[in-house]
Amino acid sequence: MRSTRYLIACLLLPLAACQTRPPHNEALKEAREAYASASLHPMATQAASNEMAQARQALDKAETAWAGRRNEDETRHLAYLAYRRAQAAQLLSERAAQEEVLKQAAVERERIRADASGKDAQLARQRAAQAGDRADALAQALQRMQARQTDRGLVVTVRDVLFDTDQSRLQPGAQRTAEQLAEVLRQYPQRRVRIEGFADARGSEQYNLRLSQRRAEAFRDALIAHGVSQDRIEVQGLGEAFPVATNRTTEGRQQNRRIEVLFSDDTGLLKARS
Amino acid sequence: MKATHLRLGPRTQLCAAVLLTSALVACASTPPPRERLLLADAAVDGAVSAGATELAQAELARARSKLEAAKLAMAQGNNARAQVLAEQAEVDGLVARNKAGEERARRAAAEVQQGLQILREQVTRP
Repeated sequence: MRSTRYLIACLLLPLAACQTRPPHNEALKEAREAYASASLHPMATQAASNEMAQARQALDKAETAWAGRRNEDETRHLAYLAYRRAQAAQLLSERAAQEEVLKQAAVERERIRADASGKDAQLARQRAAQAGDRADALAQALQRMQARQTDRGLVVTVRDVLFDTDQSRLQPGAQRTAEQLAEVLRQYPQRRVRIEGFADARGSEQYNLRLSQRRAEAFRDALIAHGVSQDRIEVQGLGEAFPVATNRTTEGRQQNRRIEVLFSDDTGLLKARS
Repeated sequence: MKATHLRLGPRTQLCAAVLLTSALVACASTPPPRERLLLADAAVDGAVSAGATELAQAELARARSKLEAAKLAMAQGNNARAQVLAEQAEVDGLVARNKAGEERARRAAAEVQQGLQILREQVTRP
């Protein structure tokens, strides 16, 4: 019953206090602050104008009730409604702000993706250009050695490989070609070569096979001496087969005494003679 | 009559001052606030539809408990108190609904920004 007396006292107190200016009301103050905070939100006008108007209306109602009747309980109730309406409006504004963040993030994501694929494409073009440059350089180097493009791939022909008198030492021209080919192979580590030795038709077939084999091996040894790994080189003596000129003349036979260096493709694959 | 209502007070979340208001207004024989209760019901339903059960638990609980208290007050013939409680339950339900919407948007934005961060790192790392 003490609480009842207290409550009645509370109710009567503002009535007893005869003031021109409404006294302080804590609930009303909180409602005003909530409304002020909600109205300051950057999205308030755009996203929650109706809700802000309702909150304003509720706040005005509470203010009027307090100014007119000074009823603590009625004002507390009305202030509570205004406070919650302001809060609801602010939440709506904040939701719109978060949705804006979401939208911007999606735009940004697309931009990054487009950028990335653009960079990838650029990189691919650069790589292709570099590969093209390398291929050009190879073609130029081989052109200096009078390489021919055949259906099996690039072929470099070397004549006058060995001194007739000393069949283990390369002639100077063949030595230079071996140096150049070793350099080309150093630049293109994925390429392999097959060295095919040939002889003219003088002498027995067995002798010519051995001779052509020796020519090819001598050239291989020169490449190895210039740093080419042995497993990148295949050697084959083909004797008097596949002549490129007549064996009836000195010039023709001289042309048939040769080696041919066949280059593999990029994957190291060497095409066989068909 | 006043004393009876004060004994009921602790069962609700409502403060004693609101109880007193209800009691005073009840003396003026307020009609049953059926429409108010329907509006409060709708507000709570709206909050649940918006996902408040998961995203705004505290706010939804507050609205529901006031709605239940309002129904109880009306059942006991205390229409004025039922009216006050129903009005408060309605705005509480509104807050719960908007809170759920805000929370959902906030989580989605945080998730997308996190994904964006990962994407940026992937792009800058060769």
